[in-house]
Amino acid sequence: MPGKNPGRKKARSIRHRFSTATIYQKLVEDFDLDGFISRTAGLLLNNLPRIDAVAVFLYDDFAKQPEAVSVSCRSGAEIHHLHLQEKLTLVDRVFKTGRPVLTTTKQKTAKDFVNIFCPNLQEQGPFGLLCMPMILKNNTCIGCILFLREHSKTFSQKELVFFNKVVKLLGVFSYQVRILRQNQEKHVSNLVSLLSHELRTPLTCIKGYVTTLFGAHDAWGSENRYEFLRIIDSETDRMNKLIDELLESTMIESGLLSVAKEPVLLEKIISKSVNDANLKSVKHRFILDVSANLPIIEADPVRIRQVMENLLDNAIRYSPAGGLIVVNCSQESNEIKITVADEGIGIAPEHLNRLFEKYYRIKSDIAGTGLGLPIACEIVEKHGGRIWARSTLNKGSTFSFTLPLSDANKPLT
Amino acid sequence: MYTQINERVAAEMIDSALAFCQAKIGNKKAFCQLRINNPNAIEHFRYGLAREIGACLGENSEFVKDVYIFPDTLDEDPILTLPLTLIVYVEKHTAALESVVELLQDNFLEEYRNVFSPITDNLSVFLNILLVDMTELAERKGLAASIGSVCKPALRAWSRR
Repeated sequence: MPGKNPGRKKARSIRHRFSTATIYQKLVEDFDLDGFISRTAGLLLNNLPRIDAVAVFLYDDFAKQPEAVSVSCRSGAEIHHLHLQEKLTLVDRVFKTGRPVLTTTKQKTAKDFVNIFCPNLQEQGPFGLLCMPMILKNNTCIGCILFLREHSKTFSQKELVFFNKVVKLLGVFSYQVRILRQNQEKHVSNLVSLLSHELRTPLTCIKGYVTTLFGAHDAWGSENRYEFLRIIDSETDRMNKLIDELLESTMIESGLLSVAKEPVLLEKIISKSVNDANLKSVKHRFILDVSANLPIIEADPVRIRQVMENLLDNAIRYSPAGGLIVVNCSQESNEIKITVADEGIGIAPEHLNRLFEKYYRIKSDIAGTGLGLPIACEIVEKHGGRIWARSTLNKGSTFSFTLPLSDANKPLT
Repeated sequence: MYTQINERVAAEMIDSALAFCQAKIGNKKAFCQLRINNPNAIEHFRYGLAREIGACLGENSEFVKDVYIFPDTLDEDPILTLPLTLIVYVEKHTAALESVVELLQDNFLEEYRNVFSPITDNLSVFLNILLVDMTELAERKGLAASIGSVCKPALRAWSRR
């Protein structure tokens, strides 16, 4: 009967709130370690009967000691990220042994905890204290959770099982987030070194030639001076392209990259791009095939040229001198397909599915920011098309993208 | 300037093969003989086409070494709609070369159908170009086994040497 057994009802409610599924759902929704831990501590405190404080400790790799990530007390006080000045022997013991500890505030170790984190509760007591370690599969203890409760109320077997589940979940999640953070930090550091290298290389070149021209302008013949200026010009273009790519990458992140569609004849855009690539690299040979009578489509001509330039640049960059680059443009049912095939070094399967990730580069010794393909991908997708790559190591790669036909040109079905 | 492989290039190759066929069959009109499925004319025409295609592939990719017609002689009389199988011996497969082959096959089919219409109107495959590399040749895999075969040999139509 309703209201007859409030204890059982409350327990059911707790089980529901803290069921594994609910916790997983919260993890996926937030993926924010600190927020999740403090909310979980708060939820445990508010929903578990007769719990007066919940504290979560994680091992801090830099400080080489446990850090109180979140402490929630019944009195209302909340503490986040507190490095312990004095060693909390209870927590230390759990970290060292990897075993849960059940004690009371009659013991000095437990009394320290109340003194530091819940001074409001000092007057009350004594309290029972349960400290459970977060153990990973490899037996590493990465943290612990501490539950404080009135001494007279013992922790039931069911509660212990439940706490164990929560601790396990928090442990796995904390570990994953920590690894993710470490990877991100590494990624950012790699990125900074990559960008500074990519910007510094043309700058050094420009500086060198300008200084040479300043120093002994008359000593160099007009041919040499022209060559120096040509190099300065091309290096300036390189820097400009790099800065453009960085800006566009930021625009993608903020969703500001736009395409201004207008009726275009792809044949002209493609042949102009191939012509320019041919002028840029006299060492490569180009074959172009554009199907006759391609329909006019709605696209942004500047952006499509950008995609073509990018694919052709990559084909040139990763192909040996004298290599063949084949560009084909044809209509396939409801779309136009453009492919760029080369005789380059090819891409290993493990790199193939990461090609369109930002800053991802296959070879670090070849110049580039790893932004060209993600930008091309964004442009093609903004047009409603698809982009993909096929490749075999040492045999070359084929990059293809499609652009949808305008409704008027779609074949009748 | 870049090279183009389109229907016009295919048309030029067909014209050259027709001229080759004309030179071989003498005073009869090659085009008419082909349309009436004269086996002699068709054999010469197919050989002429293989030579032209070999030259085109060889010109565009330095990896192309030899081009063969398979088989060297047909068991039955050839007809105009019989697909032409070419084995291209390459130093290595490349994505670009595969793309060139695809372009040639597509453009050739289109042009061949136009030139010999209506006989070829329903043709869905004409050129069938197969790339084989050194490994496949050494292992005598698939049609690569026909290169140098005594039993059913392929006929060399073009060579870089």
